[in-house]
Amino acid sequence: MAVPTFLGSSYYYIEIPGISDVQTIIDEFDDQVMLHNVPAWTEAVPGTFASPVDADGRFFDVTFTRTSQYKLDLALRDQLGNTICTRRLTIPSTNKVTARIFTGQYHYYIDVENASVAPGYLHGGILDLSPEAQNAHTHFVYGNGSFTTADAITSAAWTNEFMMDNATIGATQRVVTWKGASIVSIGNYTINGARVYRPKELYCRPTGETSTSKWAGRCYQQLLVPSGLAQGCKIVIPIDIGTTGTFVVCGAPVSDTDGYKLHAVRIA
Amino acid sequence: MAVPTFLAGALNTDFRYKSTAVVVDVNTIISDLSGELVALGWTDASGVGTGPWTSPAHASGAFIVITATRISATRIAWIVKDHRGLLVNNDTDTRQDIEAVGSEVRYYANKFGCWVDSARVTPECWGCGIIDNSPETFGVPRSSYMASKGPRRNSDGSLINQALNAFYYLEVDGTSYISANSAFGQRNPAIATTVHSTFTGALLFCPFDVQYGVTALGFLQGRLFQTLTVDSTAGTFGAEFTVPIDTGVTGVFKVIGLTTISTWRVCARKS
Repeated sequence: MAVPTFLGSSYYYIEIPGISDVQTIIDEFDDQVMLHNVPAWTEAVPGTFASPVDADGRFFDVTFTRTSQYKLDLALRDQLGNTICTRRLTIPSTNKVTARIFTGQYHYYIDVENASVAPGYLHGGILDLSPEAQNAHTHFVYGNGSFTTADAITSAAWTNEFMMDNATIGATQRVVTWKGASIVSIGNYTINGARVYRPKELYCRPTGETSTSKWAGRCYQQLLVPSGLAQGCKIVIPIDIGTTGTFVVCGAPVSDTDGYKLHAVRIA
Repeated sequence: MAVPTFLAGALNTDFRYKSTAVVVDVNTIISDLSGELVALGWTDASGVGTGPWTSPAHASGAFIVITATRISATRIAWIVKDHRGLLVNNDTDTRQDIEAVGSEVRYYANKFGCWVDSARVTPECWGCGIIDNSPETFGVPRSSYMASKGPRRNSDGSLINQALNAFYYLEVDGTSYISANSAFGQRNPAIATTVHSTFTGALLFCPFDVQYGVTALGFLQGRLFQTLTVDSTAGTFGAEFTVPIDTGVTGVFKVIGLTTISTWRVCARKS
């Protein structure tokens, strides 16, 4: 066997406790992608960070805005400059929070353990199209965040992602779920009790398709994990013969009855 | 890489395919199936090709027993039992018809199960099998089985259990086999209209996952041997697909008569 392509890209991780201002998150993200990531990101414009351009010319960029001490906005753009989404992460004013920042050449995931209120997140990246060529289509940038910039929790469930559908950008429940016909929490464990982990795969509409979505790819360095795991817990998962990966479970800001409501992102 | 366990094996040694063009009496189904199963190492209790047939025992001790009964020239009844003698298709029996003027019947047999497909104008498909739970140890904590709930039910012969998720299985701590339409493990986004292909049109093929359909905690039992699922738009009845199953290795799969659930259909190994 071999490590799957979507688990073969770069990944970096840092956990920062005691945060009381979202500027800290911006600063730590900057440090991670500019000084630790290999290949490194670039910052052509202050506050706008571009992922490394890969062999097929794919990249995305993110622009941070400190809207207030407690509100962090992030605008995600694809390689053509289309704004895929502008979403907000908020932290409470009543307590300090822990932020976990996951980055890599094809992904970013900011996951905040807010303690007194629901978790928050900002994430996005490029999809792995293998075994097809990585330039088989151009709808490969996805992203989302906890809130709209009007502080509304909409399209925030784990099944939602923003992508380019045909020629229109929007959020929909495009994440592949694994379940039975009428009950959602199924297939998460083997009958011996071992957890079953799944790739995070997305569907969207190709250019020219007005109604039909197709398989667009899978998210790098991310897995879907069964519910019941606490935000921040570390899980070790076999990813190839004799090889394991360590993943950290991220928070779910929106309650979801589906058994695969959680993401886990690679840290080692 | 390696061929996945549930697709491993060689044609005519581990799995077989047969098609009989015009079957006018289900006795032909019985004798045809007997020939296919015995060639794969199943035992025929009658010794004359009328069954019951017992699969080869897996190393875990699991085996499956199929009994076929001619109800009439055009109707056959199936009974399936697991290695403990429990009735898998827990409805006395399940039934299947052929056309009075004759139907093509297709047989997909492997060491641990089979599909029998009556290619009527409205196809009627029946099947059963032991479930592959690799990479975990086969048979631990226990072997898992499935058997079609249809295509026709015993009580009135109505054709109502054609869907691919109409089958019997055993729940966690269950004492008798049950049927629940959530026992088929689907992979779908919630988007209304999807085609399970890449943007370039390459179809996605997935295992036929069997799960627990009632227990909310969610247990994956495993997958059926020599069986895949394919997008229902492309997967019309009888369509054949050459599917890569390992580096440099392909298998040919043919769509069987189970009806669509959530844009998926079932195809069984032909070669």
